[in-house]
Amino acid sequence: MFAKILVKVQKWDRAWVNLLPVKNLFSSFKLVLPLVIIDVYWRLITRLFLDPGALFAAIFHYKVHVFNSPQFSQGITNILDYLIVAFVVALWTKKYLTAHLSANRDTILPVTVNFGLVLVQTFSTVSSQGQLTIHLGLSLLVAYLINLSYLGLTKISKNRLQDMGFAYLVWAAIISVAVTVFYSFLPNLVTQGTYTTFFSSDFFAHFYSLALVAVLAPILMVLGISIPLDLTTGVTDLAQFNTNLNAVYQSVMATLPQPQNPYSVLTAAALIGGVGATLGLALLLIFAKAKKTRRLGLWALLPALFDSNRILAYGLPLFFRPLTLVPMILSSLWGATAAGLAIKLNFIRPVVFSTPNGTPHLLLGFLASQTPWRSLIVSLLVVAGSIAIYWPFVKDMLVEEEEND
Amino acid sequence: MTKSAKFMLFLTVLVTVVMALFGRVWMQSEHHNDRAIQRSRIEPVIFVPGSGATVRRFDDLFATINAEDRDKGTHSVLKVQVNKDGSLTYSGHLSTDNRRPFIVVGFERNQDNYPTIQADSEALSKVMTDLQSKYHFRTFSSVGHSNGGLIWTDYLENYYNSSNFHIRTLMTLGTPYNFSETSTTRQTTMLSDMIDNADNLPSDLVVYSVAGSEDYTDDGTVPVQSVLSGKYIFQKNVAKYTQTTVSGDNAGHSKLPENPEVINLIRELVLENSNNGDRLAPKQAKNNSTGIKR
Repeated sequence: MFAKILVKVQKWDRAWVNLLPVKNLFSSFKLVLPLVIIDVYWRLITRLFLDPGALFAAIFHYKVHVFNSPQFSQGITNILDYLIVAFVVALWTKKYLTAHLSANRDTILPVTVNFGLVLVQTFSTVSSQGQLTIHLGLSLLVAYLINLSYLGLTKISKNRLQDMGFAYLVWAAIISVAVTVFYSFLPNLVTQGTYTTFFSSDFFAHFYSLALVAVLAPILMVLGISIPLDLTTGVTDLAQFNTNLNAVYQSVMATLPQPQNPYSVLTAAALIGGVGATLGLALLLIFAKAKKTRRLGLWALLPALFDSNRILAYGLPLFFRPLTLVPMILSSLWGATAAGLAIKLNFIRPVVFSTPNGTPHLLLGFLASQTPWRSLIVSLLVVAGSIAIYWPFVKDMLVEEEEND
Repeated sequence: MTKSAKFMLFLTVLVTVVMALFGRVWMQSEHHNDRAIQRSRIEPVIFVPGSGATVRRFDDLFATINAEDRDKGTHSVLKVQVNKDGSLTYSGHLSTDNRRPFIVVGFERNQDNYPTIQADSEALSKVMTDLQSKYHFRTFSSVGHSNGGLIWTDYLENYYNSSNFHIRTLMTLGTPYNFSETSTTRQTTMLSDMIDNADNLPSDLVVYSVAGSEDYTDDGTVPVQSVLSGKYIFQKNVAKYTQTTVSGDNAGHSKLPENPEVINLIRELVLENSNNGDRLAPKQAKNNSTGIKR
């Protein structure tokens, strides 16, 4: 049964990857990989060492004078984030249009328009906290529609118009205004980074609702939708967390009012290594025979330890990929189930304390629960389980890559 | 397995083990401290004197209150002086016999100008952190005499972090919110800055501003109009803002802290306010910001 499903998924994946727009998109992802690596490692260094609330600064009691304000390092991170998406969109546009247009057609105008409109999107949606939420999927969808309109105009005009002639300039102006207006009307709900009130509701204090989020999170990520920070940070403001913390402060071993909550079940287990519990995947890749894949694993492992899977998302890629979506969902669900069950059976007490920003989710249980060693065992079991889940799916991908190498 | 894979695996395990060990030690000390703060029953009243005054400024006030409260348990008095080099000198002691111990924070650098007030409010935030780490309190009330009220206001607007502290009441005595200006239409830079930053004031704060009046226009030093300008800062930005004027003997600027009416006000509005004995407000999750908004 499982083998049948696996074969089917692999078949779909091959067919999907061979579609021209998808092929072009994945090769664009790979082209921006160096920029993604810079972005990820910059983020890692600031979160661990340089920001005022950095993890190592907190646990080793040193004060950082490099960035007195986290806004500075956050600003650089935001710029790198914008550029990655803008370059992906521009490269994809170029590849997509080049494949559909005659060889003498210059695509500089649509490429620039798409590149610029990503920046417009980022400027119009950046929130007051300086925290940016950019949805790659939305940018790609808008770029795809723009490219279709460009191809439509070229087709209607029977390819007679000049590359930078009046007609294309008018097209660029209309598209730019329309997209800018569209972004300006985007509700804050779409672009905000946190949904604290939503996740603080009692609905998210039960295992089944948390399992649902564990399934939905990888789907959203694969579709290029940003995951709310409420689920990914050890510095949480969720109501369930505060309720539990107050109970512990009143009586050390108090029965926690809401043991199953997004922090104890999702952040601490389902998101080890990032959305889809991808630490297991990064560990698998460093053993790959193909040099390219192994190198990707080497770059991705340390960030994955700190729960960033962006290198894998662009390098493998994880985005828009059926083959990796299935194990991501299973792995995430396994993490949530393992933690939920361990809490239910009183094998562990849930994570209850806040941790410094940047603390690996792998260690959340060990550091922030009242049963450190048992929680560590559960975390290691989650990683071991996710390795077992990823292996059959990744094996096929690795064989294919080895052949290409 | 290749050498690079072995190295990366070793590095990952090493980083994990180091973080686990040191992180565990850090978490234990951090949350032991947090728990002590959360469970602490003391709610000190912290006094800040005005320009040119020392930490002895409120001695007479404390003596009067303690003489009256002898049967209920006296308020212990702790004094902290912020020296010019930023170091702190502690004197007195803080006992938990009375839930409302007194703390005085005085400044060696205490000239009557805006930059000094700003520097002192920054120093006050460091003193508050130091006091909390030593005495594990979260909730407190504050009294500021003269420029001491300005230091409190600047602190609350720029340094106060509601994740770490909960202030119940601020009482200012003869505080010149518009310095020596007698007209409310001419706002000093300090007043306009404080009005601009008033959004940062804690919304659940209760403020009492007490003015002294010797001759209907001032208390001998500070114009009543300047004290009244506080309404532009606090009104609509805090939970409650009340303005009171005391007059007659002992209503002079420097005598305000010993004025019997003022002592009654401190007793009624600060020491015996209706929230006394309530459970402490729940601690909010620590966020990552330093709490400095300036």
